[in-house]
Amino acid sequence: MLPEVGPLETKTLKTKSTTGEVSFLRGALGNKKFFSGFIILLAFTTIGIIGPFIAPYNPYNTSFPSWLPPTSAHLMGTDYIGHDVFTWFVIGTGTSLFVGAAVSLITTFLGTAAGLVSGYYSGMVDNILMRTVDVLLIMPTFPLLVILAVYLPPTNTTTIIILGVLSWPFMSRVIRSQVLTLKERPFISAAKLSGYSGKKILFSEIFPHLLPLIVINAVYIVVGAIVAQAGLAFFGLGNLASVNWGTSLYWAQSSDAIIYNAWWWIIPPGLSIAIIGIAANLFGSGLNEYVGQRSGEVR
Amino acid sequence: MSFPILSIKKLNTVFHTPSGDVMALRNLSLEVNKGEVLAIVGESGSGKSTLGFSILRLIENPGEIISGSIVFHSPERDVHILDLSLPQLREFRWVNISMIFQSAMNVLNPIARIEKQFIDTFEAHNIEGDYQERINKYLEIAGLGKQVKKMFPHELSGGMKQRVNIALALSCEPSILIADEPTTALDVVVQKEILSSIMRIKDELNLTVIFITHDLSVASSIADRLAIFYAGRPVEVGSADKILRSPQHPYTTLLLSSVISLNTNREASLKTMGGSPPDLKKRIPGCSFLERCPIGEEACSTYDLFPAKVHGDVFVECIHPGKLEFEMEVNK
Amino acid sequence: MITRKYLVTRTSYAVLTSAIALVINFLLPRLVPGNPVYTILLTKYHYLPPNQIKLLESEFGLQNPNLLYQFQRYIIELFHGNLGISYYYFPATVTNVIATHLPWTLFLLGTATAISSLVGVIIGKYIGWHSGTKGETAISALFMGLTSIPFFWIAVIFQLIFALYITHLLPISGAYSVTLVPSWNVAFILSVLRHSILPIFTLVLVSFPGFSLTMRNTMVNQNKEDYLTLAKAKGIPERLIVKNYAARNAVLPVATHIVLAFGYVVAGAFFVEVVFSYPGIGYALYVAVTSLDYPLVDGIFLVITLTVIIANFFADILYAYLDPRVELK
Repeated sequence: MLPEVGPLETKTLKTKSTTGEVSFLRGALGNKKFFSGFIILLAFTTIGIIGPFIAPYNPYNTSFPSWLPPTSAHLMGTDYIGHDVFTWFVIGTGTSLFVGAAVSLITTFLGTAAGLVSGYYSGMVDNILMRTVDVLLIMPTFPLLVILAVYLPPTNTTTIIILGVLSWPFMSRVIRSQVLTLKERPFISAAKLSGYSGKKILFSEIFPHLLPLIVINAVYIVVGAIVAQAGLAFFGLGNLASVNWGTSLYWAQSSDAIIYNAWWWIIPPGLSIAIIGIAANLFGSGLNEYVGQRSGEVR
Repeated sequence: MSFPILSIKKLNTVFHTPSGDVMALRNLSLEVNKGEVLAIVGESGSGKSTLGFSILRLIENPGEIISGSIVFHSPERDVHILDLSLPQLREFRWVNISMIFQSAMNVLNPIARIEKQFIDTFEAHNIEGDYQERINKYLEIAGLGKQVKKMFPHELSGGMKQRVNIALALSCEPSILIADEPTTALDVVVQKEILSSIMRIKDELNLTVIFITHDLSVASSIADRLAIFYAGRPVEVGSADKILRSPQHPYTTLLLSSVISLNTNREASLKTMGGSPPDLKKRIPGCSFLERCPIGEEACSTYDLFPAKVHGDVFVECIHPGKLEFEMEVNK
Repeated sequence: MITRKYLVTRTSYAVLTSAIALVINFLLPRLVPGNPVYTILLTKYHYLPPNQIKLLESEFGLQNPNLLYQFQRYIIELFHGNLGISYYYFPATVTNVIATHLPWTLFLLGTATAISSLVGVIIGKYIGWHSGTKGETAISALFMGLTSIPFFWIAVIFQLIFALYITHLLPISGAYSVTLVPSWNVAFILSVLRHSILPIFTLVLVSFPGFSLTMRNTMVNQNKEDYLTLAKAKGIPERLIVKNYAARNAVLPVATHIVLAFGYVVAGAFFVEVVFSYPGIGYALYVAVTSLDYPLVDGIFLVITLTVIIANFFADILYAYLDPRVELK
């Protein structure tokens, strides 16, 4: 056999030491997809945060005429009982994003924890967790969501908890498979050989490599939760008094907005959900590309 | 008397990467003689597999053959492989030159029965006659029973899969068989069997075999001629007997001494093999082995594209052929 | 290749999931604070009619506070096909309501899934083989956008367009013209088909891009497979390489995706039914939810969940039958 001599090891070390969150973000923003996704998400978040301050009217003010098309006084017209649609939109953006973010926080925490644990400690724990995931993934989500929402008190908190608790299985599977691949990589064996504890390897060696994946999934879950919440609201479930994109669409549907040609009421929330979905996809695939490129260069 | 069946001239194959083009084959010229077993020996990255893929034009993006010529001398006419149109190339492949791949495990279509994988090859080349009989014949030559026909790849062991690959490679009666590390993925016992089958078949069917390997001892056990590859070029080409008896290029010498460790000073040879092959993204002035060569000197770096020195029928790319071996003999 | 082990695993998953669904369906109404009967009656009638209390209590098996006894009753009733009585469609039983609504949903779902998987796989095969070209990049981006749009919003937009701008071309609500009586005659069948065009089109439009993208990705990965290199080396024509080597191997993971997406498409069908007032099970669920018809909600949950689980199970078996490698994994 010939001696296999490769320049691999030294190169890996050289490029790895320059990482930092700031330089990582700056590099990723060089990716066009990631950049545009990031900007759109940032724009919506900004609207969501400043929404209550730029809203021209009280969202529950019904003193305007019904079914007004867009004018300078009502940028998005009015609805069936004279709410200002623009006010509902900017405030609703905040609520929808908040629900999405809260769900994502729960799911990401549960999913990452389960994925890490089951990927790193194979055996019994892994078996039990993954069989649970298998079973939960077979269960169709929507009817389950509906029946839970029917019996539990109709508040946004309920919706957040239901969605958060139901969507972790898929994420845990994604994380687990990534942990399994990482475990085979030389730097993990090296850490093990140098006597690091399991916990330390998990958090200081494996976890940082999972971050891009976790961020991508977290963003997808925000969008998924916004759609799911809107879907539930559209079905008349959850807190219908809450001002958000879903309830806007519910009231539009149930008050026959179509017959009144009230496109100004129907289009903004739905289009926003679609745009945010596209932005999340751009964000995710851009980040994926960037991470792929970087590890390609390292190699 | 030997006639060339394949002539490769000034072949350049590159792989485009984000950080620059990797010159996998650098102005490579080589002839393969009819009926011989030519073993191409080199470490990974030396371009030996790239050569196999280049001959059949299987190099794909990001790889590209940028210049050179490969001529297949059939009894009727010369075929310039690199000039074939895609439909011509499709017809040319497998009936003239076929290949056994390194990854025995994954080259068979996982969802088709073995016989189907023969039949679609026959159909692609408008071969006539009784397909079943033909399949049986080549399975038998490769040392397999008829029952294999009806099986799926995952039902076969690694060794059996590689035998199926051999049968497939022979089934269109090619003149040249390229075997790209055909035994690397297999365990040692199976390796021996596969090697001896290939040798037996070669004689039976009067094949020309291009045997690509990183293992000099395997190569020396079967080859008529050797081509020692280093950094995308053959640095020493010639009859296996002569090269093994008296290697001329320092790289060959060191390679040989690391394999036949009993009669040389192993420590010395391994120590001198330090360093790594040159970066193929850069232009290499002079001898590509200079950096690792124990007898390298100033003059080696000024050479550009060695005129291969002739030493009997052995071609060597070195300005001091045989010098290193001589020194090692003396020191012993 | 279907082995006994595979069959046992799949069956146990299906049974376990069904059992969880049953337990949820049993416990949830009983975990709601207060006596479920009172809760139900109060939301329905705003007072407590004594005769109704007796009736409902016996139905829930509530005279005996032992949960296990109640569960036993619940299972027995279930096996007799008794899911209780719907409030909204009174005096119809829940089983009846589901039986009249389910066929419409199956019709929508079946047609839409068939069309979208066929269209999705064909387009995905094509763009996957030509990946990296400008056209492919544009189509993939467009599809990614389409998958992000909620079902119900697309449905609403279609309704808006066809109600106001392209009027009278296609009906925008119902499953058949109200002037017709359901029967197997040409006029009725044509009416049904015309009414199904928009709902099915909506479902297809939002579900096929996902299938296409999955097919595209598996096709792209096929390019790295060694058996494709061998096929090229063997001189197999490109058309046949795409068909017999790449696409055949790529379509199997896509089949899994289609099965996994089935639950998602079911949810989509529900929304589409609500928007187009299509009298399927989704519409019935919407009615049940908005009119607090608890027995109907429970019944629909159970039936839909079990249907999806069983569909999944059969798809798994079919998949193993189609892919000779499955037993190895």
